[in-house]
Amino acid sequence: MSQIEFLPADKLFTACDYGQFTFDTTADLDDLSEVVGQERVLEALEFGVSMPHAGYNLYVLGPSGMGKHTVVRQALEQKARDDENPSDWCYVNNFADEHKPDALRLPAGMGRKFRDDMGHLLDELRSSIPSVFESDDYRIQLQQIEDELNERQEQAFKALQEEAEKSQISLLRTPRGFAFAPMRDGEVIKPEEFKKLPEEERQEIERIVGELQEKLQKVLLQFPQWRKEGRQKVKELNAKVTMFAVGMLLNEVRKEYDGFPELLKYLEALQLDIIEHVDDFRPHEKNPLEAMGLPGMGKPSFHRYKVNLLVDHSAAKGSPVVYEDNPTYQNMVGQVEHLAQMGALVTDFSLIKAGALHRANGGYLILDVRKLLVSPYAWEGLKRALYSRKVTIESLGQLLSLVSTVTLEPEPIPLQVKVVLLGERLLYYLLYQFDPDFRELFKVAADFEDEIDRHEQNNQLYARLVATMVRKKKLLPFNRFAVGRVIEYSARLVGDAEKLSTHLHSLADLLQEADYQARRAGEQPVTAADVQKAIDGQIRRADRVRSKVYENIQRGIILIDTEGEKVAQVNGLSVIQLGDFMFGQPSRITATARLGDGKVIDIEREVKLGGALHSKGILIISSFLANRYSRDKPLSLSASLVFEQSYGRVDGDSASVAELCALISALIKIPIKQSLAVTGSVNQQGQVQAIGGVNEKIEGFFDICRSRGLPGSQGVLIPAANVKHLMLRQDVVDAAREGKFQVYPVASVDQAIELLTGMPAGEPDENGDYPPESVNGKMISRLEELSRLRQEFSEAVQEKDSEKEV
Amino acid sequence: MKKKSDKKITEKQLPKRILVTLDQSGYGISVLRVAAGMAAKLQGELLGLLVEDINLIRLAELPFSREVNLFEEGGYHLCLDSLEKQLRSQAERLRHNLASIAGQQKIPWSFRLARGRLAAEIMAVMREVDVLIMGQMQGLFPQPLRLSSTLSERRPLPANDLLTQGFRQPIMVFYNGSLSSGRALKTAALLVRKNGERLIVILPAVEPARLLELEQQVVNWQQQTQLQLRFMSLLNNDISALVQLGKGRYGGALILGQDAFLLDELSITTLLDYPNCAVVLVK
Repeated sequence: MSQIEFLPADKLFTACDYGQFTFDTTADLDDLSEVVGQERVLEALEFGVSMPHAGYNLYVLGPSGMGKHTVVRQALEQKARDDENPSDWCYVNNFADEHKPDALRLPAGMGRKFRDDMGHLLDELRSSIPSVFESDDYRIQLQQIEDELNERQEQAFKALQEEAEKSQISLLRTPRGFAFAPMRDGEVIKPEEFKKLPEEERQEIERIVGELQEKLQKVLLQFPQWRKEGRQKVKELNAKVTMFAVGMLLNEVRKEYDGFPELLKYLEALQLDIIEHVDDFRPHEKNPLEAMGLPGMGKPSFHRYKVNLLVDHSAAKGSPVVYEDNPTYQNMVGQVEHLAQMGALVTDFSLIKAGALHRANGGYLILDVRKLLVSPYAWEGLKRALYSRKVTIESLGQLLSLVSTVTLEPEPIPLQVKVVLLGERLLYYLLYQFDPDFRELFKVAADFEDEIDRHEQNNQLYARLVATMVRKKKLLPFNRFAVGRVIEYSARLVGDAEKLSTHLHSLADLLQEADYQARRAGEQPVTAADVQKAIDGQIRRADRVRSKVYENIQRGIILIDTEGEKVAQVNGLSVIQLGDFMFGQPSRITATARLGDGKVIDIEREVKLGGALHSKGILIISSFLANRYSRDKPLSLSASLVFEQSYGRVDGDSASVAELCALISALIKIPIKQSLAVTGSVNQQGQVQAIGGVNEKIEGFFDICRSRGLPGSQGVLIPAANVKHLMLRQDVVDAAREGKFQVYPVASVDQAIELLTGMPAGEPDENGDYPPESVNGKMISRLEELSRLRQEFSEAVQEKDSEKEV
Repeated sequence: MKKKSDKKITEKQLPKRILVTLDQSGYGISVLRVAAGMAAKLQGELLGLLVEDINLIRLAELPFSREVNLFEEGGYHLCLDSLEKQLRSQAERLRHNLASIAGQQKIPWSFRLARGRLAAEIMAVMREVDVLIMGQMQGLFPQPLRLSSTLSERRPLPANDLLTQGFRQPIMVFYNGSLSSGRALKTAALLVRKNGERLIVILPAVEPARLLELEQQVVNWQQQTQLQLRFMSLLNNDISALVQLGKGRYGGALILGQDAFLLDELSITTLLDYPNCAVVLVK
């Protein structure tokens, strides 16, 4: 029997070597400008942002709290500083179709200037146009046109009147028009006098009146045409006068923006519109709506001449890096707002609001993928914009054809943006698997490292990282022992003595809480004791459930033996995770074995409380038993395995070594030491493989043992491969140092069974036979016996059946 | 104190009984409102006169009479019964307008209906009143073209700010130094809507020295009113020259003293034909 040594105390915890630190406190350290251990991410970011081709947007993978946002933002801002300032964007009225506002692109800073210039221009137009129309020059010209036209009317009437007067006929105004009447002595001839006139004269008068009436009708019919001509002349005059007032002012603006053809085109259209609507600029009487005092109603609107500065980069230094905290559809693509007026919703181009894509255009947009995916249609909207390389503002109502409110169709704005999604790995893989667009649009994955190697160089960097965070968060300086303790905590966080965690939020939390402890104690700098208090505090706040479980074990409600020996019963170790707190729980694993057809029953699985991995472990046990002990015969046993007093789901294969040992004990009736607990998974060859949560598991069994006293025989068997993960609590290490608690690294089932039973496992001889008194020898004998019994039973049954047939 | 005595003089000098010729056009109603406003301001009385033109009655009795207008090709027969009905209905409507507008201003009013020649009937009533306002469309010529909003509009004025709005620009006043022309000047000042607006003062055709003297009198008076003035002068001292000068200044008002010209039926007719401009005669 080989002697398996327990681990010395110094193997149970890899302390930080404080001697490597030359500083007294973090105040002596420089800030860390580089990102620790995320070289792959930085390379991916560099590649992603530099790739000019479509689809090279980025997805930064990693659990939350890794500082992804900070790292990405920092990297992008560094890159953005060297980029050119992106363009400003304005929306202006489309005078040809007001429902489709035009987008204007201007160099950074010029958008604001253009908006202000147009505002000043409008102010000037509002004063200069009325004044030019009130000028005597205009009045005279207008008067001339009107005089001319009135003269034309009057002349027509006069001519008719003169013609009538030659025949002693006069033109009279009647209530509804005009009439011709024969006159005598300045008055219309009396009817009785008219009757006295000779028949020929009466007929002549009637004839002349008839002719005059026809001529009058013709003259009257010309009036509308003359008026139309008159209005046209006035329109032309107004246009000339407006041009005089507007042209000069607009030319100044044109000079400023020479070289922007789209803008000049807009100014041209604006000029025509002002000429067409020049009456709006002139004093007018209040219309009924205005007179009612309704705000904004009825007044001529000058809104259409304003400029909606959608994106302003006047203060930009390089390209924008935008993080949209609430990536809803409308926050992404922008929206057209409405105003309620007299119960109706109205809008115009000035109510167009920019979305994150507009603000980030020409630069970088950072989004949380989870938030994006839970916002209805936001993901679809983003993809559409990236595919089309345009931002089209469209309300969800329009998009889904749900509403018919009058709204706008603003001209789409060309989009050139790098989108960086931040999210969990699971979401990346799900999107990659199920959304074909995702693969096309997000070709660069930047996968965050959860951990970095723990060596002197990284320890030094970590110390500077701590120093940087301490300064950034305005905490008390940490002395080097405190920094060392933080590093030890970081290693424990990843459950690996040779690694350090890159989970910056956990680190920041610890630093802040240690600072709190130090301040509370009135100490400065922060010491290792303060850090330990902070760690203990975190555990204390989270361990209500653990305490309850341990209490139930101590009170004998959950049955766990820590002394003596029992057949077919072994202490397994499981891990329970509640939020970010993990603890180990000892579990009693028992086995039963009997004659059967080679089936090992996983009771957990039978009741659907066992996960796939646990079932896999049980099948491996079956396979191991058959392979090692029953190669030439059928495995003639039936066994059952169960986690006693387990009422929840059990998964993972970390108890498979324990289960195998319990089964062997059940088969050959050899007792197992209850002072030991076992963790580890087994493969078909009987090798013990590494498992997770080794520290928590050891500490879990230690806590139970300590509560019952530590006679010195207790300990835990762990896979040898897990030794490098050990970062145990100080009290466990101390107990080990004092010989009160041992941790045994085991590499094979044989080593485990020897430790648990105190019997040799047995090595096969040259024929492959095991010593009869060894565990393996006994196992072979027992299985052969079961095989024989099965054979006999089978023959007896066959005989019985034959007798029945005879 | 000085201000108070000035006011007394003004009140004493300004007319109290105002005659307005009634007309159913929109402009006629605006003129009626201005007249009512003036009467209210002066605590005076408003008299509305509607004259049914005798020539129209006779015309309607002629067998061939036809009324021609823009909208009905060939016109239609003008019959007496129909005309009488129209006139009665028009009289009722205008009386109602007068009552309503005067009621709004809380001023005493009376309505007078006459049948005859318009100018003759006006002259007959003129003796009873201090001021005559004629604003109806009596001229033969159709309504002048209104081609721009900067020109005066023939739109009824709101009842609540009658005298403050008054007639539209321009307000013209004939001043020849007589007492009645002085009163015309003061009446014109009442009608000018607000400070800063311009009053056109028409001076008679006189020697340059007299012209200067008259101009100076107006300027002296103007210093109390803060009105902006513009001077014009007649080429001949007759109504036709006055009408010629005001030609084209549509929609405003011409104010003149009753003794400015010889006011006979012909000159009243000429003033009635004053194109599209209210004429205010002040005693």
